Amino acid sequence: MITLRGVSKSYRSLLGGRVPAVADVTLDVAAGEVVGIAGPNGAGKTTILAMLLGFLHPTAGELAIAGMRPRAYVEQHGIAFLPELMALPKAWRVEDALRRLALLAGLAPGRAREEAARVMAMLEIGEHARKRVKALSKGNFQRVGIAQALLRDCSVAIFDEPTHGLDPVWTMRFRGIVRALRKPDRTILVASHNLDELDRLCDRVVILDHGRIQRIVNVGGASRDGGAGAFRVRVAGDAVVACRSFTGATVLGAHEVELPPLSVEEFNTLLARALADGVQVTGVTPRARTLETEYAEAVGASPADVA
Amino acid sequence: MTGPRGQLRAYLAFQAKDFLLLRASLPTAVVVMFAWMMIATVQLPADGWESPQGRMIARQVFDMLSTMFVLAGAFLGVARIVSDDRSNGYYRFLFSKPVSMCAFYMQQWIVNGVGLVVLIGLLASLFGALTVPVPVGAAMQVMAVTWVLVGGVGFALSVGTNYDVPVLVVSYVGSSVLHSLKDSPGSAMAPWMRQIVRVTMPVQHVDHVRAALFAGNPLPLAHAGIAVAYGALFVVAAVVLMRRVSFAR
Repeated sequence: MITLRGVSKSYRSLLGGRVPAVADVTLDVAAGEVVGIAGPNGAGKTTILAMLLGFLHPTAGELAIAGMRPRAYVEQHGIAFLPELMALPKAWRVEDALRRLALLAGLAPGRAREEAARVMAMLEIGEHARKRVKALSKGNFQRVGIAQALLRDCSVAIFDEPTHGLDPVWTMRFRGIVRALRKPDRTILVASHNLDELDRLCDRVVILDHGRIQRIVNVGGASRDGGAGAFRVRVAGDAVVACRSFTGATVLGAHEVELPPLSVEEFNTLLARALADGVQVTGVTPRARTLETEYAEAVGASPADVA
Repeated sequence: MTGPRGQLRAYLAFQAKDFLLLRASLPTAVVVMFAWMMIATVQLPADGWESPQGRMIARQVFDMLSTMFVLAGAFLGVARIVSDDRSNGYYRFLFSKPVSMCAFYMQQWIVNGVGLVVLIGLLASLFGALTVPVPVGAAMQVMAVTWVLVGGVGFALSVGTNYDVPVLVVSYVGSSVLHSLKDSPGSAMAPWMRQIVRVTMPVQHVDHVRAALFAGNPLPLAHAGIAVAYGALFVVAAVVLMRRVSFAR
Protein backbone atom coordinates (compact mmCIF):
# COMPACT_ATOMS: atom_id res chain seq x y z
CA MET A 1 0.00 0.00 0.00
CA ILE A 2 2.75 2.43 1.00
CA THR A 3 6.23 2.17 -0.46
CA LEU A 4 9.31 4.26 0.14
CA ARG A 5 12.36 3.56 -2.00
CA GLY A 6 15.65 5.21 -1.05
CA VAL A 7 13.82 8.31 0.14
CA SER A 8 15.97 11.21 1.28
CA LYS A 9 15.08 14.74 2.22
CA SER A 10 17.53 17.47 3.01
CA TYR A 11 17.10 21.15 3.68
CA ARG A 12 19.33 23.98 2.61
CA SER A 13 20.98 25.70 5.55
CA LEU A 14 21.46 29.46 5.81
CA LEU A 15 25.11 29.00 4.86
CA GLY A 16 24.19 27.09 1.72
CA GLY A 17 25.01 23.62 3.00
CA ARG A 18 22.55 20.76 3.06
CA VAL A 19 21.10 19.43 6.29
CA PRO A 20 19.78 15.87 5.93
CA ALA A 21 16.42 15.23 7.59
CA VAL A 22 15.73 11.79 6.11
CA ALA A 23 18.36 9.61 4.48
CA ASP A 24 17.84 6.61 2.21
CA VAL A 25 14.67 5.26 3.78
CA THR A 26 13.21 2.15 2.19
CA LEU A 27 10.03 0.71 3.65
CA ASP A 28 6.94 -1.21 2.58
CA VAL A 29 3.73 -1.08 4.55
CA ALA A 30 0.99 -3.47 3.51
CA ALA A 31 -2.74 -2.93 3.62
CA GLY A 32 -4.14 -4.11 6.94
CA GLU A 33 -0.97 -3.27 8.85
CA VAL A 34 -0.61 -0.88 11.75
CA VAL A 35 2.95 0.41 11.73
CA GLY A 36 4.50 2.62 14.34
CA ILE A 37 7.26 5.15 13.78
CA ALA A 38 9.45 5.96 16.75
CA GLY A 39 12.60 7.97 17.16
CA PRO A 40 14.14 10.82 19.08
CA ASN A 41 13.25 14.44 18.33
CA GLY A 42 14.51 15.39 14.88
CA ALA A 43 14.82 11.76 13.78
CA GLY A 44 12.77 12.43 10.65
CA LYS A 45 9.35 11.02 11.66
CA THR A 46 7.30 14.10 10.83
CA THR A 47 9.30 14.73 7.64
CA ILE A 48 8.43 11.25 6.36
CA LEU A 49 4.75 11.81 7.16
CA ALA A 50 4.82 15.23 5.43
CA MET A 51 6.25 13.53 2.32
CA LEU A 52 3.54 10.86 2.48
CA LEU A 53 0.92 13.61 2.39
CA GLY A 54 2.70 15.34 -0.48
CA PHE A 55 3.40 18.47 1.55
CA LEU A 56 7.12 17.95 1.02
CA HIS A 57 8.88 16.53 -2.02
CA PRO A 58 11.77 14.14 -1.43
CA THR A 59 15.25 15.26 -2.44
CA ALA A 60 15.90 11.73 -3.71
CA GLY A 61 14.02 8.44 -3.94
CA GLU A 62 10.38 7.66 -4.52
CA LEU A 63 7.26 7.39 -2.40
CA ALA A 64 4.01 5.86 -3.53
CA ILE A 65 0.63 5.14 -2.01
CA ALA A 66 -1.34 2.49 -3.86
CA GLY A 67 1.05 3.04 -6.75
CA MET A 68 0.31 6.76 -6.97
CA ARG A 69 2.45 9.75 -6.12
CA PRO A 70 1.47 10.90 -2.62
CA ARG A 71 -0.10 14.24 -3.55
CA ALA A 72 -2.07 12.66 -6.39
CA TYR A 73 -3.27 9.94 -4.02
CA VAL A 74 -4.32 12.43 -1.33
CA GLU A 75 -6.16 14.65 -3.81
CA GLN A 76 -7.99 11.61 -5.15
CA HIS A 77 -8.74 9.64 -1.97
CA GLY A 78 -7.79 11.68 1.09
CA ILE A 79 -5.90 10.48 4.14
CA ALA A 80 -7.21 10.41 7.71
CA PHE A 81 -4.46 12.58 9.15
CA LEU A 82 -3.85 13.87 12.64
CA PRO A 83 -0.79 16.13 12.56
CA GLU A 84 1.54 16.62 15.48
CA LEU A 85 1.44 20.38 15.02
CA MET A 86 -2.28 20.95 15.08
CA ALA A 87 -3.53 24.33 13.94
CA LEU A 88 -6.86 25.72 12.85
CA PRO A 89 -7.84 29.38 12.51
CA LYS A 90 -8.49 30.48 16.08
CA ALA A 91 -11.77 32.21 15.28
CA TRP A 92 -13.37 29.07 13.82
CA ARG A 93 -15.98 27.42 15.97
CA VAL A 94 -15.57 23.69 16.55
CA GLU A 95 -18.76 22.72 14.75
CA ASP A 96 -18.03 24.98 11.77
CA ALA A 97 -14.45 23.72 11.57
CA LEU A 98 -15.66 20.13 11.38
CA ARG A 99 -18.34 21.03 8.81
CA ARG A 100 -15.77 22.80 6.65
CA LEU A 101 -13.39 19.85 6.87
CA ALA A 102 -16.24 17.42 6.19
CA LEU A 103 -17.04 19.28 2.97
CA LEU A 104 -13.40 19.12 1.96
CA ALA A 105 -13.47 15.44 2.85
CA GLY A 106 -16.04 15.00 0.11
CA LEU A 107 -19.28 14.84 2.11
CA ALA A 108 -22.34 16.55 0.71
CA PRO A 109 -23.47 19.58 2.77
CA GLY A 110 -26.28 17.72 4.55
CA ARG A 111 -24.08 14.75 5.39
CA ALA A 112 -21.24 17.04 6.42
CA ARG A 113 -23.42 18.42 9.19
CA GLU A 114 -24.46 14.91 10.27
CA GLU A 115 -20.93 13.56 10.23
CA ALA A 116 -19.64 16.58 12.16
CA ALA A 117 -22.29 15.84 14.81
CA ARG A 118 -21.41 12.13 14.80
CA VAL A 119 -17.69 12.61 15.36
CA MET A 120 -18.33 15.28 17.99
CA ALA A 121 -20.53 12.83 19.85
CA MET A 122 -17.96 10.06 19.41
CA LEU A 123 -15.16 12.22 20.81
CA GLU A 124 -17.50 13.77 23.42
CA ILE A 125 -16.84 17.34 22.33
CA GLY A 126 -20.47 18.19 21.60
CA GLU A 127 -20.57 20.59 24.55
CA HIS A 128 -17.78 22.59 22.90
CA ALA A 129 -19.47 22.74 19.48
CA ARG A 130 -20.09 26.49 19.57
CA LYS A 131 -16.77 27.35 21.21
CA ARG A 132 -14.04 28.94 19.19
CA VAL A 133 -10.98 26.82 18.61
CA LYS A 134 -8.84 29.26 20.61
CA ALA A 135 -10.99 28.61 23.71
CA LEU A 136 -10.30 24.87 23.76
CA SER A 137 -7.90 23.14 26.11
CA LYS A 138 -5.02 21.19 24.59
CA GLY A 139 -6.78 17.88 25.24
CA ASN A 140 -10.09 19.00 23.74
CA PHE A 141 -8.31 20.44 20.71
CA GLN A 142 -6.53 17.12 20.27
CA ARG A 143 -9.94 15.42 20.30
CA VAL A 144 -11.12 17.84 17.60
CA GLY A 145 -8.07 16.76 15.62
CA ILE A 146 -8.95 13.10 16.04
CA ALA A 147 -12.58 13.85 15.18
CA GLN A 148 -11.70 15.50 11.87
CA ALA A 149 -9.53 12.53 10.94
CA LEU A 150 -12.58 10.27 11.34
CA LEU A 151 -14.91 12.28 9.11
CA ARG A 152 -14.29 10.09 6.10
CA ASP A 153 -13.62 6.40 5.64
CA CYS A 154 -10.04 6.45 4.30
CA SER A 155 -7.79 3.58 3.24
CA VAL A 156 -4.80 5.27 4.85
CA ALA A 157 -4.73 6.79 8.33
CA ILE A 158 -1.73 8.65 9.73
CA PHE A 159 -1.55 9.76 13.33
CA ASP A 160 1.39 11.89 14.45
CA GLU A 161 1.74 11.99 18.25
CA PRO A 162 -1.97 11.19 18.59
CA THR A 163 -2.21 11.07 22.37
CA HIS A 164 -0.24 14.24 23.01
CA GLY A 165 -2.28 16.25 25.48
CA LEU A 166 -4.90 13.55 26.04
CA ASP A 167 -5.71 12.43 29.56
CA PRO A 168 -5.24 8.74 30.47
CA VAL A 169 -8.88 7.87 29.82
CA TRP A 170 -8.82 9.38 26.32
CA THR A 171 -5.44 7.83 25.68
CA MET A 172 -7.05 4.44 26.30
CA ARG A 173 -10.08 5.40 24.20
CA PHE A 174 -7.79 6.43 21.37
CA ARG A 175 -6.32 2.95 21.37
CA GLY A 176 -9.86 1.62 21.03
CA ILE A 177 -10.46 3.95 18.09
CA VAL A 178 -7.35 2.68 16.31
CA ARG A 179 -8.33 -0.92 16.95
CA ALA A 180 -11.76 -0.18 15.50
CA LEU A 181 -10.12 1.39 12.46
CA ARG A 182 -8.02 -1.70 11.80
CA LYS A 183 -9.29 -3.33 8.60
CA PRO A 184 -7.72 -5.65 6.04
CA ASP A 185 -7.81 -2.91 3.41
CA ARG A 186 -6.64 -0.04 5.61
CA THR A 187 -3.09 0.98 6.44
CA ILE A 188 -2.44 2.86 9.65
CA LEU A 189 0.75 4.70 10.59
CA VAL A 190 1.27 5.99 14.12
CA ALA A 191 4.26 8.18 14.93
CA SER A 192 4.82 8.56 18.63
CA HIS A 193 7.38 8.99 21.36
CA ASN A 194 5.21 6.79 23.53
CA LEU A 195 6.70 3.32 23.06
CA ASP A 196 4.10 1.66 25.24
CA GLU A 197 1.39 3.05 22.97
CA LEU A 198 3.16 1.78 19.86
CA ASP A 199 3.78 -1.55 21.53
CA ARG A 200 0.08 -1.95 22.21
CA LEU A 201 -1.22 -0.71 18.85
CA CYS A 202 1.19 -1.75 16.16
CA ASP A 203 2.27 -4.82 14.26
CA ARG A 204 5.68 -3.35 13.54
CA VAL A 205 7.57 -0.35 14.78
CA VAL A 206 10.10 1.46 12.63
CA ILE A 207 12.80 3.06 14.75
CA LEU A 208 14.39 6.10 13.13
CA ASP A 209 17.42 8.06 14.21
CA HIS A 210 19.34 10.73 12.32
CA GLY A 211 16.91 10.34 9.43
CA ARG A 212 17.68 6.66 8.88
CA ILE A 213 15.81 3.48 9.73
CA GLN A 214 17.84 1.93 12.52
CA ARG A 215 15.62 -1.04 13.17
CA ILE A 216 12.18 -2.48 12.42
CA VAL A 217 10.71 -4.33 15.37
CA ASN A 218 7.88 -6.80 15.08
CA VAL A 219 5.79 -6.19 18.15
CA GLY A 220 2.48 -7.78 17.23
CA GLY A 221 0.69 -5.58 19.73
CA ALA A 222 -2.81 -6.15 18.52
CA SER A 223 -2.65 -9.91 18.64
CA ARG A 224 -0.80 -9.92 21.94
CA ASP A 225 -3.55 -7.94 23.63
CA GLY A 226 -5.83 -10.84 23.00
CA GLY A 227 -3.27 -13.62 22.96
CA ALA A 228 0.37 -14.53 22.71
CA GLY A 229 3.30 -12.71 24.28
CA ALA A 230 5.98 -12.84 26.89
CA PHE A 231 5.28 -12.40 30.59
CA ARG A 232 7.03 -11.58 33.81
CA VAL A 233 5.83 -13.53 36.81
CA ARG A 234 6.35 -12.43 40.39
CA VAL A 235 6.37 -15.21 43.00
CA ALA A 236 6.18 -15.26 46.77
CA GLY A 237 9.06 -17.70 47.21
CA ASP A 238 12.45 -18.16 45.60
CA ALA A 239 12.49 -17.30 41.89
CA VAL A 240 15.14 -19.97 41.22
CA VAL A 241 12.85 -22.65 42.64
CA ALA A 242 9.85 -21.30 40.73
CA CYS A 243 11.88 -21.29 37.54
CA ARG A 244 11.93 -25.11 37.59
CA SER A 245 8.15 -25.13 37.14
CA PHE A 246 8.19 -22.52 34.35
CA THR A 247 9.91 -24.24 31.45
CA GLY A 248 12.19 -21.88 29.53
CA ALA A 249 11.90 -19.09 32.08
CA THR A 250 14.83 -16.93 33.14
CA VAL A 251 15.36 -15.53 36.60
CA LEU A 252 15.15 -11.77 36.71
CA GLY A 253 15.42 -11.20 40.45
CA ALA A 254 14.87 -12.81 43.84
CA HIS A 255 11.11 -13.09 43.27
CA GLU A 256 10.68 -12.58 39.52
CA VAL A 257 11.05 -14.72 36.40
CA GLU A 258 10.50 -13.92 32.73
CA LEU A 259 8.74 -16.41 30.50
CA PRO A 260 9.49 -16.70 26.78
CA PRO A 261 6.81 -15.70 24.25
CA LEU A 262 3.86 -18.07 24.66
CA SER A 263 0.35 -18.45 23.37
CA VAL A 264 -2.46 -17.94 25.86
CA GLU A 265 -3.00 -21.69 26.11
CA GLU A 266 0.70 -22.39 26.66
CA PHE A 267 0.93 -19.67 29.27
CA ASN A 268 -2.09 -20.96 31.20
CA THR A 269 -0.87 -24.53 31.02
CA LEU A 270 2.50 -23.47 32.39
CA LEU A 271 0.88 -21.34 35.07
CA ALA A 272 -1.44 -24.19 36.12
CA ARG A 273 1.52 -26.55 36.39
CA ALA A 274 3.47 -24.06 38.47
CA LEU A 275 0.49 -23.54 40.78
CA ALA A 276 0.10 -27.30 41.08
CA ASP A 277 3.78 -27.48 42.00
CA GLY A 278 3.05 -25.11 44.87
CA VAL A 279 4.45 -21.92 43.39
CA GLN A 280 2.69 -18.91 44.92
CA VAL A 281 2.18 -16.37 42.10
CA THR A 282 1.77 -12.77 43.31
CA GLY A 283 1.65 -11.02 39.96
CA VAL A 284 1.80 -11.45 36.19
CA THR A 285 2.92 -8.63 33.92
CA PRO A 286 2.94 -8.80 30.14
CA ARG A 287 6.42 -8.13 28.82
CA ALA A 288 6.47 -4.43 27.97
CA ARG A 289 10.07 -3.58 27.72
CA THR A 290 11.13 -5.34 24.57
CA LEU A 291 10.41 -2.36 22.34
CA GLU A 292 12.09 -0.06 24.83
CA THR A 293 15.17 -2.24 24.78
CA GLU A 294 15.19 -2.39 21.00
CA TYR A 295 14.69 1.35 20.85
CA ALA A 296 17.47 2.04 23.31
CA GLU A 297 19.85 -0.12 21.32
CA ALA A 298 18.77 1.43 18.03
CA VAL A 299 19.29 5.03 19.12
CA GLY A 300 22.33 4.31 21.25
CA ALA A 301 20.77 5.05 24.62
CA SER A 302 20.80 2.92 27.71
CA PRO A 303 17.50 1.16 28.48
CA ALA A 304 17.38 3.04 31.78
CA ASP A 305 17.38 6.35 29.87
CA VAL A 306 14.46 5.25 27.74
CA ALA A 307 12.49 3.90 30.69
CA MET B 1 -12.87 3.16 0.36
CA THR B 2 -12.74 5.75 -2.34
CA GLY B 3 -15.38 8.40 -2.02
CA PRO B 4 -16.23 11.63 -3.71
CA ARG B 5 -13.63 14.36 -3.87
CA GLY B 6 -13.86 17.49 -1.74
CA GLN B 7 -17.02 19.53 -2.16
CA LEU B 8 -15.24 22.70 -3.20
CA ARG B 9 -18.37 24.26 -4.63
CA ALA B 10 -20.16 23.85 -1.31
CA TYR B 11 -17.09 25.17 0.49
CA LEU B 12 -17.42 28.38 -1.53
CA ALA B 13 -19.93 29.73 1.01
CA PHE B 14 -17.26 29.51 3.73
CA GLN B 15 -14.70 31.18 1.47
CA ALA B 16 -17.13 34.02 0.77
CA LYS B 17 -17.75 34.40 4.50
CA ASP B 18 -14.00 34.50 5.18
CA PHE B 19 -13.58 37.11 2.45
CA LEU B 20 -16.29 39.35 3.89
CA LEU B 21 -15.18 39.06 7.50
CA LEU B 22 -11.43 38.96 7.19
CA ARG B 23 -10.62 40.86 4.02
CA ALA B 24 -13.47 43.12 2.88
CA SER B 25 -14.66 44.44 6.22
CA LEU B 26 -11.74 46.80 6.84
CA PRO B 27 -11.61 48.65 3.48
CA THR B 28 -15.42 48.76 3.43
CA ALA B 29 -15.60 50.23 6.93
CA VAL B 30 -12.90 52.80 6.18
CA VAL B 31 -14.49 53.92 2.91
CA VAL B 32 -17.99 54.08 4.43
CA MET B 33 -16.67 56.08 7.36
CA PHE B 34 -14.87 58.57 5.10
CA ALA B 35 -17.89 58.88 2.81
CA TRP B 36 -20.21 59.45 5.73
CA MET B 37 -17.89 62.09 7.25
CA MET B 38 -17.68 63.94 3.94
CA ILE B 39 -21.37 63.74 3.16
CA ALA B 40 -22.27 64.87 6.65
CA THR B 41 -19.85 67.77 6.90
CA VAL B 42 -19.63 69.18 3.36
CA GLN B 43 -20.98 72.76 2.91
CA LEU B 44 -23.34 72.64 -0.07
CA PRO B 45 -25.29 75.43 -1.81
CA ALA B 46 -29.08 75.63 -1.49
CA ASP B 47 -29.87 73.12 -4.24
CA GLY B 48 -27.57 70.57 -2.57
CA TRP B 49 -25.79 67.81 -4.50
CA GLU B 50 -27.63 68.67 -7.74
CA SER B 51 -25.82 72.01 -7.95
CA PRO B 52 -22.72 72.17 -10.16
CA GLN B 53 -20.58 72.59 -7.05
CA GLY B 54 -22.31 69.68 -5.34
CA ARG B 55 -21.80 67.45 -8.37
CA MET B 56 -18.13 68.38 -8.51
CA ILE B 57 -17.60 67.66 -4.82
CA ALA B 58 -19.47 64.36 -5.06
CA ARG B 59 -17.39 63.31 -8.02
CA GLN B 60 -14.10 64.26 -6.35
CA VAL B 61 -15.04 62.36 -3.21
CA PHE B 62 -16.13 59.36 -5.28
CA ASP B 63 -12.91 59.31 -7.30
CA MET B 64 -10.81 59.52 -4.16
CA LEU B 65 -12.77 56.89 -2.21
CA SER B 66 -13.06 54.45 -5.09
CA THR B 67 -9.31 54.70 -5.75
CA MET B 68 -8.70 54.10 -2.05
CA PHE B 69 -11.04 51.09 -2.00
CA VAL B 70 -9.61 49.60 -5.18
CA LEU B 71 -6.04 49.67 -3.90
CA ALA B 72 -6.77 48.69 -0.31
CA GLY B 73 -9.21 46.02 -1.47
CA ALA B 74 -6.76 44.48 -3.93
CA PHE B 75 -3.94 44.39 -1.38
CA LEU B 76 -6.05 43.10 1.50
CA GLY B 77 -7.88 40.71 -0.79
CA VAL B 78 -4.73 38.86 -1.75
CA ALA B 79 -2.48 39.42 1.27
CA ARG B 80 -1.26 36.05 2.65
CA ILE B 81 -3.92 34.21 0.65
CA VAL B 82 -1.72 31.08 0.61
CA SER B 83 1.11 31.89 2.99
CA ASP B 84 -1.22 32.31 5.97
CA ASP B 85 -2.35 28.68 5.77
CA ARG B 86 1.23 27.56 5.22
CA SER B 87 2.94 29.56 7.97
CA ASN B 88 0.21 28.80 10.50
CA GLY B 89 0.06 25.13 9.58
CA TYR B 90 -3.66 25.12 8.66
CA TYR B 91 -2.81 23.30 5.43
CA ARG B 92 -2.20 20.05 7.31
CA PHE B 93 -5.92 19.69 8.02
CA LEU B 94 -7.20 21.27 4.82
CA PHE B 95 -5.09 19.33 2.35
CA SER B 96 -5.08 15.90 3.90
CA LYS B 97 -8.61 15.87 2.49
CA PRO B 98 -9.26 14.82 -1.13
CA VAL B 99 -9.00 18.32 -2.48
CA SER B 100 -6.65 19.99 -4.94
CA MET B 101 -4.61 22.81 -3.42
CA CYS B 102 -4.60 24.64 -6.76
CA ALA B 103 -8.37 24.40 -7.14
CA PHE B 104 -8.90 25.48 -3.51
CA TYR B 105 -6.75 28.60 -3.80
CA MET B 106 -7.89 29.47 -7.32
CA GLN B 107 -11.46 29.38 -6.05
CA GLN B 108 -10.55 31.59 -3.09
CA TRP B 109 -8.77 34.00 -5.43
CA ILE B 110 -11.82 34.21 -7.71
CA VAL B 111 -14.20 34.60 -4.75
CA ASN B 112 -12.12 37.48 -3.40
CA GLY B 113 -11.90 39.18 -6.81
CA VAL B 114 -15.59 38.81 -7.60
CA GLY B 115 -16.41 39.88 -4.04
CA LEU B 116 -14.41 43.08 -4.42
CA VAL B 117 -16.02 43.92 -7.77
CA VAL B 118 -19.51 43.33 -6.37
CA LEU B 119 -18.73 45.28 -3.20
CA ILE B 120 -17.42 48.34 -5.03
CA GLY B 121 -20.49 48.19 -7.22
CA LEU B 122 -22.76 48.19 -4.17
CA LEU B 123 -20.82 50.94 -2.40
CA ALA B 124 -20.73 53.11 -5.53
CA SER B 125 -24.47 52.62 -6.03
CA LEU B 126 -25.11 53.59 -2.42
CA PHE B 127 -22.91 56.65 -2.74
CA GLY B 128 -24.69 57.59 -5.95
CA ALA B 129 -28.08 57.20 -4.27
CA LEU B 130 -27.04 59.51 -1.45
CA THR B 131 -25.38 62.14 -3.66
CA VAL B 132 -25.52 62.22 -7.47
CA PRO B 133 -25.16 59.36 -9.97
CA VAL B 134 -21.56 58.15 -10.25
CA PRO B 135 -19.92 55.79 -12.77
CA VAL B 136 -20.61 52.52 -10.98
CA GLY B 137 -19.61 50.35 -13.95
CA ALA B 138 -16.32 52.22 -14.35
CA ALA B 139 -15.44 51.63 -10.71
CA MET B 140 -16.22 47.93 -11.09
CA GLN B 141 -14.06 47.63 -14.21
CA VAL B 142 -11.14 49.42 -12.54
CA MET B 143 -11.50 47.07 -9.57
CA ALA B 144 -11.48 44.03 -11.85
CA VAL B 145 -8.38 45.10 -13.80
CA THR B 146 -6.53 46.10 -10.62
CA TRP B 147 -7.48 42.80 -9.00
CA VAL B 148 -6.13 40.70 -11.82
CA LEU B 149 -2.85 42.66 -11.80
CA VAL B 150 -2.23 43.15 -8.07
CA GLY B 151 -4.13 40.02 -7.06
CA GLY B 152 -2.31 37.92 -9.65
CA VAL B 153 1.15 39.05 -8.60
CA GLY B 154 0.19 38.77 -4.93
CA PHE B 155 -1.12 35.24 -5.46
CA ALA B 156 2.16 34.06 -6.97
CA LEU B 157 4.17 35.79 -4.24
CA SER B 158 2.03 34.15 -1.56
CA VAL B 159 2.69 30.73 -3.06
CA GLY B 160 6.41 31.44 -3.23
CA THR B 161 7.14 33.13 0.07
CA ASN B 162 5.74 33.74 3.52
CA TYR B 163 6.82 37.40 3.17
CA ASP B 164 4.44 38.09 0.30
CA VAL B 165 2.90 41.25 1.77
CA PRO B 166 6.07 43.35 2.07
CA VAL B 167 7.34 42.03 -1.27
CA LEU B 168 4.04 42.94 -2.95
CA VAL B 169 4.00 46.43 -1.45
CA VAL B 170 7.62 47.06 -2.45
CA SER B 171 6.92 45.70 -5.95
CA TYR B 172 3.90 47.93 -6.41
CA VAL B 173 5.43 51.10 -4.99
CA GLY B 174 8.76 50.45 -6.72
CA SER B 175 7.04 49.85 -10.06
CA SER B 176 4.99 53.04 -9.69
CA VAL B 177 8.09 55.10 -8.92
CA LEU B 178 10.15 53.57 -11.73
CA HIS B 179 7.40 54.02 -14.31
CA SER B 180 6.90 57.65 -13.24
CA LEU B 181 10.64 58.29 -13.59
CA LYS B 182 10.75 56.59 -16.97
CA ASP B 183 7.73 58.46 -18.31
CA SER B 184 8.62 61.85 -16.84
CA PRO B 185 9.49 64.51 -19.41
CA GLY B 186 13.22 64.70 -20.07
CA SER B 187 13.86 61.39 -18.35
CA ALA B 188 17.52 60.38 -18.66
CA MET B 189 17.01 56.78 -17.61
CA ALA B 190 19.73 54.45 -18.89
CA PRO B 191 18.62 51.94 -21.56
CA TRP B 192 19.38 48.94 -19.32
CA MET B 193 17.28 50.52 -16.59
CA ARG B 194 14.44 51.00 -19.04
CA GLN B 195 14.59 47.29 -19.82
CA ILE B 196 14.25 46.48 -16.13
CA VAL B 197 11.33 48.89 -15.76
CA ARG B 198 9.61 47.18 -18.67
CA VAL B 199 9.29 43.92 -16.72
CA THR B 200 8.09 45.49 -13.47
CA MET B 201 4.38 45.65 -12.62
CA PRO B 202 2.63 47.71 -15.32
CA VAL B 203 0.83 49.89 -12.79
CA GLN B 204 0.77 52.84 -15.18
CA HIS B 205 -1.65 50.91 -17.38
CA VAL B 206 -4.12 50.65 -14.50
CA ASP B 207 -3.80 54.42 -14.08
CA HIS B 208 -4.65 54.84 -17.78
CA VAL B 209 -7.65 52.52 -17.39
CA ARG B 210 -8.90 54.45 -14.36
CA ALA B 211 -8.40 57.84 -16.03
CA ALA B 212 -10.18 56.78 -19.21
CA LEU B 213 -13.14 55.12 -17.52
CA PHE B 214 -13.68 57.89 -14.97
CA ALA B 215 -13.57 60.43 -17.82
CA GLY B 216 -16.52 58.61 -19.35
CA ASN B 217 -14.50 56.95 -22.15
CA PRO B 218 -14.74 53.25 -23.03
CA LEU B 219 -12.35 50.73 -21.50
CA PRO B 220 -8.93 51.23 -23.13
CA LEU B 221 -8.39 47.65 -24.23
CA ALA B 222 -4.67 47.93 -24.89
CA HIS B 223 -3.89 49.22 -21.40
CA ALA B 224 -6.36 46.88 -19.72
CA GLY B 225 -5.05 43.96 -21.78
CA ILE B 226 -1.43 44.51 -20.71
CA ALA B 227 -2.37 44.79 -17.03
CA VAL B 228 -4.63 41.71 -17.17
CA ALA B 229 -2.13 39.64 -19.16
CA TYR B 230 0.66 40.50 -16.71
CA GLY B 231 -1.50 39.50 -13.74
CA ALA B 232 -2.78 36.35 -15.45
CA LEU B 233 0.80 35.28 -16.15
CA PHE B 234 1.47 35.40 -12.43
CA VAL B 235 -1.67 33.39 -11.70
CA VAL B 236 -0.41 30.70 -14.05
CA ALA B 237 3.01 30.90 -12.37
CA ALA B 238 1.30 30.49 -8.98
CA VAL B 239 -0.45 27.31 -10.13
CA VAL B 240 2.73 25.86 -11.64
CA LEU B 241 4.71 26.71 -8.51
CA MET B 242 2.08 25.11 -6.29
CA ARG B 243 2.26 21.90 -8.30
CA ARG B 244 6.04 21.72 -8.54
CA VAL B 245 7.40 23.03 -5.24
CA SER B 246 6.88 21.59 -1.75
CA PHE B 247 3.98 23.36 -0.09
CA ALA B 248 5.48 23.05 3.39
CA ARG B 249 8.65 24.96 4.14
